[in-house]
Amino acid sequence: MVECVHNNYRHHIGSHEEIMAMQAKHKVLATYSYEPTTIERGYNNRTLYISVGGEFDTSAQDPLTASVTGPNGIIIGEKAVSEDMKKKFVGGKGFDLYHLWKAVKADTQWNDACNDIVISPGPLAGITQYPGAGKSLVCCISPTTHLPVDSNVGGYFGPFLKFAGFDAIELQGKAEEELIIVIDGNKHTISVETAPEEAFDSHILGEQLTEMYADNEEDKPNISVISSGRAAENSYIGILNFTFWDKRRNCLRLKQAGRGGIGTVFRHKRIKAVVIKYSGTHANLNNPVKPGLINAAGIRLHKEMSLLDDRQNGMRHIGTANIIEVMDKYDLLPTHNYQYGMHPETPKIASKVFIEKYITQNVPDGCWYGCSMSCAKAADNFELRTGAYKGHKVCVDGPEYENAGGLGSNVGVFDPRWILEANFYCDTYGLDTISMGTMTAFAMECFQRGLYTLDDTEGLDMRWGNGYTLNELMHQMVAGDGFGMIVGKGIRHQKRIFAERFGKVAPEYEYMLQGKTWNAIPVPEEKVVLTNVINPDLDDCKYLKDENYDDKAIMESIKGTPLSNPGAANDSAFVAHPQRWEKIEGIPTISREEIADWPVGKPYYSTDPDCEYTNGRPWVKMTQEQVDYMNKFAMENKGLEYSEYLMKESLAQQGGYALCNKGAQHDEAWLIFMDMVNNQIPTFEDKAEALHYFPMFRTWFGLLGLCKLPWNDVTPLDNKYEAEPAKIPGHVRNYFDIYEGVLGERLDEASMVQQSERVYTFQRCFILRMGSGQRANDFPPVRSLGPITKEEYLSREERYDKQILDKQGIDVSGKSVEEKIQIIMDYRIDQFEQLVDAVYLRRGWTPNGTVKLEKLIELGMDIPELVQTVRPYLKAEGYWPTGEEYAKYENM
Amino acid sequence: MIKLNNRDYPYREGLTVRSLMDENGFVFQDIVVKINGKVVRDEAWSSTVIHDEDDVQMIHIFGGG
Repeated sequence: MVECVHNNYRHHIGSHEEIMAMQAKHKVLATYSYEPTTIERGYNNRTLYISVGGEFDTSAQDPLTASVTGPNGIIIGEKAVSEDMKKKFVGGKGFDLYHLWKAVKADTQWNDACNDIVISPGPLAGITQYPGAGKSLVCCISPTTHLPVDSNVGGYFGPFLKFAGFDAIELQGKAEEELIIVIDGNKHTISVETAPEEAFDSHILGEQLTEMYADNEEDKPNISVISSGRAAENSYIGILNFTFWDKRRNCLRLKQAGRGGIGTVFRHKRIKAVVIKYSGTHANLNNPVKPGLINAAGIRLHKEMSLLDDRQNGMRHIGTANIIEVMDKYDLLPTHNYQYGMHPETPKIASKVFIEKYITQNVPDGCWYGCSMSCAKAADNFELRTGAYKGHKVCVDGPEYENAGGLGSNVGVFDPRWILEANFYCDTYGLDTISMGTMTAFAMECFQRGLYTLDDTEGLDMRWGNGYTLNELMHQMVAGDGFGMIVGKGIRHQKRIFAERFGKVAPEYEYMLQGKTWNAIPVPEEKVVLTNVINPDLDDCKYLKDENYDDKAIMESIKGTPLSNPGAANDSAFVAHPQRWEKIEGIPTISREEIADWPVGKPYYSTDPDCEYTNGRPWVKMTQEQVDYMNKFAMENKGLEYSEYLMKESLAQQGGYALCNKGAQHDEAWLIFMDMVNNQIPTFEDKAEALHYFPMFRTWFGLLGLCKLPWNDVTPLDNKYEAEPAKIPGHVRNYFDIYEGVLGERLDEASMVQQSERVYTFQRCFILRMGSGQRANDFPPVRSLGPITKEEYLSREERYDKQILDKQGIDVSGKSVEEKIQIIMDYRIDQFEQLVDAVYLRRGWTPNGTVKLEKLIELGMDIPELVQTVRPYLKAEGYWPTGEEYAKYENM
Repeated sequence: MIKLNNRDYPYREGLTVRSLMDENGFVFQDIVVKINGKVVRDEAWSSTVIHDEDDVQMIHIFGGG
């Protein structure tokens, strides 16, 4: 049993009687009873469709085979899953994208009612004999990228959905009031209900709904809830939390579909939660054809976990956070917005610190039954110091590696307490930890490079290491006010807003401010000001003393303003202070359309609806030079913030990020060690082959409902003797076995890759349809390619000097740092372009990144939707094939 | 001179697999070591001496998150 678990937040949830009283306030708007099915070879052969309301065009969607309607456009119904759909799209992300394509149009925006959140677990999901088989894939049009985004998530919802009778669920429309959807997989009923009184934040709401719909304590593991949180509504980086009940801890656990703002879409639809209930889980509910194959593969992996995990990655003790110090040692831990890959304070956030001080040990932390890897670690009894739940002792799900990187080193926070606090608030408020970390890092660097000041943040100190600021930004997103409202929109929006608002007043326009005083609006109450939140003792690492940052000057400038007196006992602490400035009369207010032609440096205000943050500091446009400077270190691609690995020394990983269909996420390819350390893929062709195989191989997990981690976070003893040990061939054979076990067909490597390539290619065409998917969209921020500042170059000066000599044949003696940066970056940009050429060629795309018709035909994906999408691009590029065999595609 | 992961690396007498790993900061737990194509088992890393002109591969089996 777990000892000393005193998570004490339950008083916020309410008593059983109070929760039942909440349920009594529900109004059932629609109910639907469906016929039970028997799962055959992993499939139910039907999709659950729910519109929560509103009017939109559904003519391109598959027809409903049965349905009921409710008020305000509510629909609950079913769609058939065809054999062709299974063959081409398999399940999981494939099914998601299939439905999403039909739901939206090329000009659909994320907040249109027709935007479709699709969740599918895949045909292998739900087996309990093999670790990591409880995944769901979630897709929708993203608020940050305006493209289809996919995100995978554990927890019990996906398997329960399948056991309830559906291979996927679509959530479309926009409700007129806060709703929940309740699926009872045993009674075969679905209801759409109002839910006016339940909380919004996930750790409270999940427990309320679990208590509400469980028959008794023993029934709680049979409930899973999808929810988001309050900050998801005021940001573009909302997540979905999928719950499971942790019997050992006697509390709810949260797993996240994190990337791309799916939770923002969920909350925009005014869906408060989706609840599913299913009792009766057992190993063979998928009705597998050859269960013996699954059992044998499972036993092999369980034995490896038992025998090898302690001496390999320690996943059972700390989960993915085991690599924090490994990344630091290999110069890969993103630090200060990806400037550096290591930091002298990393030992403060090393995995052993979390193991020894925070993470409850010896608990089987699997996020689905049967997962002996059990990496879903948690810190119990963690006392919060800020925000809505200050003083509560809570269960924090994490930290995962990405959380420690994003909410830690990348923003210069090396205090595990701030990391865990931010981890908790990201989850319960419904925010993506990765985007939160990376976009805060960008905002911090802009601040410290002088692109904006405390006047723009109402005194919120945006320097590296301020863990209080990191959390305060999230609290502001919940409140719907403050600088956090800008940060929460993500880097792509930050860039635009900073460029429009945070320029310097040009001398010729200073008259507009003369004689006018910005009047501080009285502050109703002082906020608690923490001391000693910033303590970057970097004397033992000189290069980390960023030359352009002058902390002393910043502190002096603060002291010269009213913001220097926040009422704190310690006047050396500068943290959030709710000072607000009134608008200055006489400065014109213009529309969004007028901003483009407005003079640089001339103050103005705008009616831009994106700027709910109404600080009265006049807006001033940046110069183009400032904008270009800022864009160099804005770490997003296609609108998605980079995840937490330093990629600048690995050309292959630069491609892995920038060529990723959804934006800068590493789940398609993680090649840093193969490339940078092992030097296994030295040529462009080698890298292109890796950037073909691994994205296709990894896509397969998301089609089938599997977790990637059991593939290569433990490796068989005899893996070292394999011809290609990086592919973990023994585990790939396991996947062939469990696929055959469930579906009855044997895959090989080629057929496995082809399954993925069909869906991958479909997604590439999808992003082309939505206005991306061309070469220009795949170009990354230049910081991802190499050193762009003096600080970065000097941090690795010897290495870079040698690289220039060895690879470019240039002796850099006597050259300035600026000259050397220019030399190495010109080379690296050229290398990146050559890589892109090689990858496009390998993938069967044109030099501009368009999927060729011949590739669609080869994959059997020459379906009208895709042909019509690529045709105008191929014709414009001169790649539309001629010949009789292609004639039928002219008018398809 | 030896080859370490297909790159030139200075040879010195008495160089072992373990000392070569230490010099290069190779601390990851799951590394496959091969000398001239032959696997060196973990327990032999400290005692295995590397000779001049050996082709040493230290392959980190790490596929990322």
